[in-house]
Order: sequence, then structure tokens, then C-alpha cells
Amino acid sequence: MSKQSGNFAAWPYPSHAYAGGLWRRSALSRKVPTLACCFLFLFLLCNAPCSAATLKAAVAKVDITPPIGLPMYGFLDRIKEGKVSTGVLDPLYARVLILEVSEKRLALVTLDLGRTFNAAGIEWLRKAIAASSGISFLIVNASHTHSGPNLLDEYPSGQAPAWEIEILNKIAATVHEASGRLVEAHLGTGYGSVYIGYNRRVVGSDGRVTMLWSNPGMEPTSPLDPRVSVLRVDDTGGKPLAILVNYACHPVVLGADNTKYSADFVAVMASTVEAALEGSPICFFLQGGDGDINPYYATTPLREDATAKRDWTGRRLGEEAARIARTIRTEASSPATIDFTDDVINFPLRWDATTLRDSLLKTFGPRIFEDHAGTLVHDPPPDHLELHVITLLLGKRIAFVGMPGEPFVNFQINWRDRCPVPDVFFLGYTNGYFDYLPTIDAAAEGGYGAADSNTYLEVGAGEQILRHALVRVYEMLGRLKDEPEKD
Amino acid sequence: MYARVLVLGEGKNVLALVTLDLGRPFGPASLARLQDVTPKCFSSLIVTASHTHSGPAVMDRYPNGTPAWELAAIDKIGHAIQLACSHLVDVRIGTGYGAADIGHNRLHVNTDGTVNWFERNLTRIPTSPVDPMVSVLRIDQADGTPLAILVNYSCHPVVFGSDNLQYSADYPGVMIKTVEAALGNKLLCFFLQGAPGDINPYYAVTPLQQNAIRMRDWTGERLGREAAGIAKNVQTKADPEAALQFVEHKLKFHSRWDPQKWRDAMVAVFGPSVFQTFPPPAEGELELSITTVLINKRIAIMTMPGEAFVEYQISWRERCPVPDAFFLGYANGYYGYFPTIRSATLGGYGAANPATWVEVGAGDRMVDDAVMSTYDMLGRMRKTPEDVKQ
Repeated sequence: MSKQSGNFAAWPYPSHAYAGGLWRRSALSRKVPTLACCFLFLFLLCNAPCSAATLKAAVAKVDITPPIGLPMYGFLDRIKEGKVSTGVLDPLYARVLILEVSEKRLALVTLDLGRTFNAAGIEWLRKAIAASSGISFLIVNASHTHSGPNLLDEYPSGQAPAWEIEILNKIAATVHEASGRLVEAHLGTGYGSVYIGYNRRVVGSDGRVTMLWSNPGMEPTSPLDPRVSVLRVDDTGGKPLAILVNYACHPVVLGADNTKYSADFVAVMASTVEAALEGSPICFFLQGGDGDINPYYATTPLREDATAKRDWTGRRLGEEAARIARTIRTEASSPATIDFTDDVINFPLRWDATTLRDSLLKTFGPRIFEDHAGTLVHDPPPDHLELHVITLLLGKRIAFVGMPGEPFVNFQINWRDRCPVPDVFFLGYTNGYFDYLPTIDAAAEGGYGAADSNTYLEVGAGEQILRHALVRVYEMLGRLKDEPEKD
Repeated sequence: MYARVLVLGEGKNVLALVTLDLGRPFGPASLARLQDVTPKCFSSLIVTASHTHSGPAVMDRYPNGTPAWELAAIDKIGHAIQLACSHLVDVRIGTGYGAADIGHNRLHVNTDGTVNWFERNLTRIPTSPVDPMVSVLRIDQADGTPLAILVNYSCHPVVFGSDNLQYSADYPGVMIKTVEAALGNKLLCFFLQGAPGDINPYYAVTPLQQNAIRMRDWTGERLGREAAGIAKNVQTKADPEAALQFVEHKLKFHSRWDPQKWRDAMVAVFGPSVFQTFPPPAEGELELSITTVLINKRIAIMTMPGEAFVEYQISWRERCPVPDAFFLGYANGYYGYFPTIRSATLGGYGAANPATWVEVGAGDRMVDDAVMSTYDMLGRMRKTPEDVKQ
């Protein structure tokens, strides 16, 4: 609107300036510049709304390290043995990026947590920041660190514990604070590659899967996606506000023997990037399709210098991400647009729900739902589940898909192959958590996350989600019409 | 114009495969009638059409009831199935592959993303995507005498255009004669139309006065010679662990268009009489039948009830977990065109006009379903999780 006002203010002056000069020869000729000015005014007026649409951004970071003494996320043995957190290796953060174009305001929240909050928690956050900060779109992405507090789909008391409510409030307050200091921003993307992990499912020549739980010898495996994708957000002076790093690898260098909070290699990656770039940007980690990808030094025992391995992994990724970020030339988004959908898709369960629930209890005991399949804790369990699938398109050229679980890496590769825009980002652990999403092939091959109780959505769910997002991107680009061609 | 019947049986599992020299398979009522006139004869039925455009119009529902010719055809086909069922003999099966170059992709994508209708390609300009693969399934009697040659290929049988008013199977008829003659005329050759949703013969819609019959023959003979060459080289063998499996799924899809917008576009594109030969506008959910067959744990056949774009056939072959993959379009129903998602956005005939009306991405889901069914029949999809006690 400011440019529109400027056009109104500037318009009368040239007209006055012309009044005593060249254009006084005749009444008719006096009308010519007047008409010309009218056309110019109309032209500017018609074009003003387009040029007025600019991208604005703000970033913030908040410490969400919970109190010690809580059960930790990710390793069933640690949960069953009742081990709780005993300290902090590095603080856990939520990072917030606000993007705004015209009346559309998006909040991207990344979490140094094992998974996102449950459906009620996300819904609370969505409503809170919509009311307080005018946020119309929310993306919550967890890094999947296994050294954070455990989050559950259903808490025994029926409501989230105080520490989780406090975290949600902190994030809501941070979103509100950041929303108040939006500045005009430029975007840029860049790509590179790094090898810090491997595919932990080794398919033998007989078709059988052997799980390779660590790979310190760095033996080649496949499929793997070494791609490091970086989105850089600058202010108009070129100062970096945010560096978003998208990569697929389980943050599990630290294993079940660690009982201190840590963002794992992600913390080291973020600090490496932030230190390498002038201007104090905030570095965000966007976890990708890491359902079958481990770091080489996965679950390194503490006595074998796990923190050094964590640092090696994080530094290696961070140095590559920083190198990419430095080479990115950001520019004003043209067109400056935000397109977003958050669709709910119903999926039946892969296994008979009641049998699965009973089998889980029989095999692992009552604490199993604190580890996985938490949505099946109720008796009887649901026979279908509602998944949120997010699709985001920035400036008609940078596309994101978000899956609510642990997608296998081939989905990330497939998304990049098929997405019709130049820049594609893939987010797992987004706006919900429903454990593993294997490809159809992997589901048939078997192995952890592919054919065990860690995966329970119907086979093909990941393919369906990807297709859905692909169609959404085409719709956002205006390339899928809502009525048939008539010629 | 013929219907050809192949009945394959192993134990209690009996598959009846009917190929038709027609534009599309019969509608639900006639398919049900076919089941009724062949009681307990087979456990799975696939009725697939060659898609010749020189046959009588077939509809899901007729304004004045099913015509007599169709009722008679159903009864004759039922009789043929029963006859085949009563003459089952031990067989050996083999497959072979080659390539034939008789068609082109008729949706030409320009550099600016627009699509041109490229109906005829008389100078045989290379186009993409096309699938030149000729897939042959040969079935011999126990002594090696050929019983049936099944030829799977993707190309619209439209060498004849709308000026032709005489029934013809188009080039598949010539292909079949060529194959049968080359192998001694004591077998039946079946044409299995694949995924020609965007594939035309080079000499498409040749006017009769420009020697359309010769062009039809050139097309059919070229495919037939290649198919016969492949068939002769196929080494059939009896499988000591012979197995015949099939899965039929009903998948639900939304209509792509608002029914009124679709109706308006149908009339605009095809004229006001379109609904005399086309089904009325689709309302609500559509239920499509997909059959996946697995023979001897190594030959897979998937069906789609409509005109699939050729990339689906290629994708099925790439993804299918067994060595031999056959793709049948126009099978067990007709729901217009199935463009790929990308094709649907590019536009053009069958991609974004009223000839396609099932939700975008339906074809992808059907291929997914067939891949999953194949894994399932191979016993590679577990019924329970690996890590739990039952």
C-alpha cells in the first residue's frame, strides 16, 4: 500500500511543472500531457498492487531445553529401563522463521526434538499464533534428535505435561515477538553434497534385509541422498537472516547410553554455519527423508568418544552448508507469493489394528506406546489415521512437501525428480508423527521401519502423499485447470 | 471382428481372458451377463478391447436397452469360454521381447509448454515418450505345438479414420493374421492393447482415397513380423511349480471435473449428440476395477479400465518385481483417458480435455496397486509385523 500512496502523492507535480512551458501552445495541446498523465496514473495504479507485494521475514530462536529428569525419546530400551535425562550436552532450541506476503503470513518452526507435538499440541499452537500474530500457515518440523525429551500422542493424565505446555507457550511468544519485526527479505537457494551417513537397510542378493546399525568404515550403501539443499533469507542489504539446511540423516550419533539433552549433530551443524557467516543469521535444520538413513557413527557409545563423532558429523555437514550459503545470491522474490496447503488424508492401517495393538503389548509390554504407534494406545484402536500433508510454494519456484513421519530417502529423491519447479525441499517429521513411511519396494523387502511394527500405515501411503503434494504444486502454479479444455 | 478366448487354469484358479476387436470393453451389465452365462467356469475374468475405431459403438448404458448384437456377442463369447474351459490341456509358457516402430506420441509439447495435436506422422519424425517394446507371451501344448501367441503393444488402432464406415479390427487384424500365418495357422494370436492413450500409428486417420487399407496393412504387418519373429524364438517350458494367481481390487476415485463443467465441455468438443455414444456425466465417486495376474510367480499382467498414457506401461515394467510385465488397457471397464500427472498439466487431448474425467494421479495409484498386488502374490508383503509375537 505504501507505493500506491506514493503514486498518488507524486502525480500532481509534473502537471504543475508543465503549466507555463512548452505545452501552453493550445488548449488541445494542453490536454495531451494531461491525458498522458491520466494514462500514466492509471497504468501505475493498475500495476501498483503487483509491485507492492513484497516478501518480509523475521527470525527468532528460543531455548526449549526442558527440565532434567524426564524420560527421553527414541530408544525403546532406555524407555523400558526407566532411564531419565541427567543433564544437558547442548541446549535444545526452537527456531522460528516468519514469512509474509501481503495478508499471508507463514510460521516455520523447527524443533530440536525427536518428533513434533501431538495433534492437540499442534492445533493449540496453530490457533494461538493465528490469534496473536495473524499466522495463517504453520509448519512444525522436528529434527528427530534421539537425545531430547519424549513426546507422546496420548499422555496418561489426558493432558500434556507442564514442560511441554511451557515449550508451546515459549514458541507462541517467540512467533509473536518475531512477527512484530518483519523486514523486507530476499531469497536464494543453493545445493551441494556431503557424505555423513549411509542406508542402514542392506538388501542382500537373496532379497533379505540386514540392518546395519552403524557404519564407521563408511562402506558405500544405496539408496542415499547426499544432497545438501540450502535456502538463504537475507534482508535487502544482503545481511543473512536465516540459513535453512535440508538434509536427510537420523540424528543418532549419540545412543541410548547418553542421558543428556542434545540436538546431536544438528547442533554442531547449526553452530558451524552460524559462525561461518557474518551477520549472525539463524541456521535452521530441516530434516528430510531419513527413514532409512543413519550417520556413519550411529549410536556411538559415550566411552568411544561419541561427542567427537557427533561434532565430526555436524561440522562436515555444516561446512558444506556454509560453503553453499556463502555462494548464494539472494534476490527479491518475483513474484512475491506464498501458496500453502495443509490437507488431511485418511489412511487405513496396514495391519489389523486390534491384533497389532495386542501384539505390541504382548511383545514389548505396556510402555511400547511411549516408543512408537502411540496413536494405537486406545482400546479399541482406530482402523484409520488422519495425516496432515503440507505443501508450500514460495515465489512460484521453491516447493516444500511435509510428511508427518519418517519417510524413506527414495521419497525425497523422487520428489526432487518429479517436482515441476527448480527448487525443492523435502521435510519429514512435519505437522504430526505417524512413525515410518517406507516405499512400496522397501515394505516388501522388510526390515526396520519397512515391515515391522514401526510402520503401520497402509503400504503406498508415502507414494500417495507425494502424488498429492505434486498435484498441489501444479495447482499452485495454475497448471491444473478446474474445467476441461474446450478446443 | 472377433472375440478371442484364452482360459488358463491351475488347480482351482481359472482365468478367462477375452480380447475383443472393439473400441472398448462391454459395460457393467454385459460383463455381469457374461459371468451369468458361464457359471462356475472361471474364477477371474479379464475382458479387454483392442480399441479399434472401426467397430460398433459400445456403451455402459444404452438409452433403449442393450442392443441385440451385443447380447448375441455376449452369448457367443460365453459359449466360447465354456468351450475353452472344457478343453483345457497341459501347457508350457514362455516370453520374449522385441521392438517395433509403427507409431508416435501424438501430443507434441512445444518449447513454451503448449501442446499440439500431432495426429499423423507420415515422415516418422521421432517423438517421445513412446514404447516400442513388443512383448510376447507364448503358450504351447505339452509337445511344443503353439496354442496361443499373445502380443502386447501400445498403439491406437486408428489407421482408418472417420470416413471409413466398414467394420475392421484395423491394424491388429493384420498383425494377427501375420503372426498366425508365420507360425502355421494352427494357433490363435491375441492382441493385448497396452497404454496407447497418447500413441497414434504413423498413418493415423488415413483417408480411404489415400489407400488407407494399404497403410493399415503396412502397420499390422510390421508389428506382426516382429511379433512372429519373437514368438518363434521363445523357448516355452513347463513349470513344475506352476501357479496362477490374481487379485481384483476396486479403487475409488473422485471425478476430476465438476459434472456440469464436464457436460458443457463434452458438448462443446464432441457435439450435442455426444451422450448418445458416451456415458452421462460422472457424479461423485467412481469405482474402478484393477486386476493383477501373476503366472508362475514370474509373469505379471496388470489391467487399467481405460486409455492409459504410455508412460504408465513403461513405469509398470520398471517397477514390477518380476521379470515379465504385461500391461492391458481398456480392460474390465472404460473410464476415459488416464494421463500422467505431468501430462494432465500440459494439456491436450486425453490429458486435460473432457475425454479424461477421473482424478489426476489415478493412473499412478493403479500402477502402485498392481505393484503391491504383485508383491503380495509373491508372498513378499507380510501379513503381520516382523517384530511382534502373535
